[in-house]
Amino acid sequence: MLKKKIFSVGEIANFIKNLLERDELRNIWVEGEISDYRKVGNNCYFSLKDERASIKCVMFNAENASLREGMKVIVKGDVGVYEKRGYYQLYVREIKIGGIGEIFIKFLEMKEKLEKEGLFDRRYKKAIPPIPSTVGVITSKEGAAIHDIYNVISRRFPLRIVLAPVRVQGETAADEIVRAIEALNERNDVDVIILARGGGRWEDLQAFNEEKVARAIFRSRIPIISGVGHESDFTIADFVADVRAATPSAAAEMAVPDGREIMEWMDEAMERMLSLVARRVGRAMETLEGMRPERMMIHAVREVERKRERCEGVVKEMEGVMNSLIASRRHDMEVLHTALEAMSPYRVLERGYSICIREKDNKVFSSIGDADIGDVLRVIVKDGEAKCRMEEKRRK
Amino acid sequence: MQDGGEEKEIKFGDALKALERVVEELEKGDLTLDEMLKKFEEGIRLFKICREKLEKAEARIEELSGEI
Repeated sequence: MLKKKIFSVGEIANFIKNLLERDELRNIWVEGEISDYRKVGNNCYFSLKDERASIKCVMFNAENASLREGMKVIVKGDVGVYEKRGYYQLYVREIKIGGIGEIFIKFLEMKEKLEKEGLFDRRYKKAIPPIPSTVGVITSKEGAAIHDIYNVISRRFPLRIVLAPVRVQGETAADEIVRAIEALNERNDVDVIILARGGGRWEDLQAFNEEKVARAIFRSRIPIISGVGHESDFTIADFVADVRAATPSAAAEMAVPDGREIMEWMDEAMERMLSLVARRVGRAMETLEGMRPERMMIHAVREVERKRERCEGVVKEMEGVMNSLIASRRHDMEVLHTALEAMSPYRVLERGYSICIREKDNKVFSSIGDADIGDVLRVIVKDGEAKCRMEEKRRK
Repeated sequence: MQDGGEEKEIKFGDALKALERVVEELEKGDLTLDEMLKKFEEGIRLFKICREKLEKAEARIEELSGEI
């Protein structure tokens, strides 16, 4: 190509583009200081510089980035050529704020090491119990995290929280977190653990990047939800945890179900039970009446009609209960009781029927094979009961 | 679940699961009337336990003391 005498601008730009846009310059981390910072819509434009040089940077859709002039950052991205303006620049995808070069490298190395070992593997992730009784929380006693967690839990699904107070930053933080995980695992009442810390500078989250913390999380028999820092901060703990939540509040939301949803499910369950039982009882009553034609004198026909109406009445009554159940999610249990009583077989006794129960095991005597001659039966009528011995039996 | 003395100790989650089972059994529909009413009563009992637990539930923080 270079043998040609005259090139078009486009040709040269394209040639340079091919020279620069190569794998070595893709997915690279670059450390520097921000200057000439501008934000247009969701896109950030700035230069990254150090004592020797400067490189133009652009970050698209950088909604969460809170960058300032002079800030020390590490950015991840690809080198690319912007042919229209004739310059090369860094297309940034990720930004880490602070003078954190060293620890960030360590973080990346640790992440790679543990990932290779399989500590982040999906197959080791434990399921979060759908309905816990007790939630363990590992965080600072003083921080905002425990308040956020408490608020979410008392709003959604109030239960017992066992707080394992630890320091979340500083020399001893990692050891304290490890011991807290172990201590909660020694108890038998904790169903799920939230490991939390409120937002802060990335370098303050280092305890959550330590290997021993990662291994303690991995060893935990109880599932762990991590909620460390802000939305954009990831720590090693987040990768090892069974579930990662963006914030302590979000972790609490994942730890407990929504009490209102459960309440609704329960009301639905009750509604289904009522309708099933009502249908069945209605049918049984009809059969009961139909089975005694010999008792039906002509003048009793109207009586049967009345009973049928009563059956329907019971079903209607239950439907009423169901409707009120749906209408007022917090209905009075008394209503249910009344309905249940109306359904009870003992109500049938009021109408002149009796129930026979085997004395020996309190099972209902409903088939001729259920008892033998000599067996004692309890005959229950509306206002009392009688003990009877069977003298004779005969199959229909 | 038969031993009534344990009622206070039953966990909400377990009671809810038991309620779910009762509904399933009622829905299967192969019960005698007697069994059905017994299940129904059991269902109501569980429903009451669950509701009471849910309504009375309070969030509280206990602190792990000692060695940490």
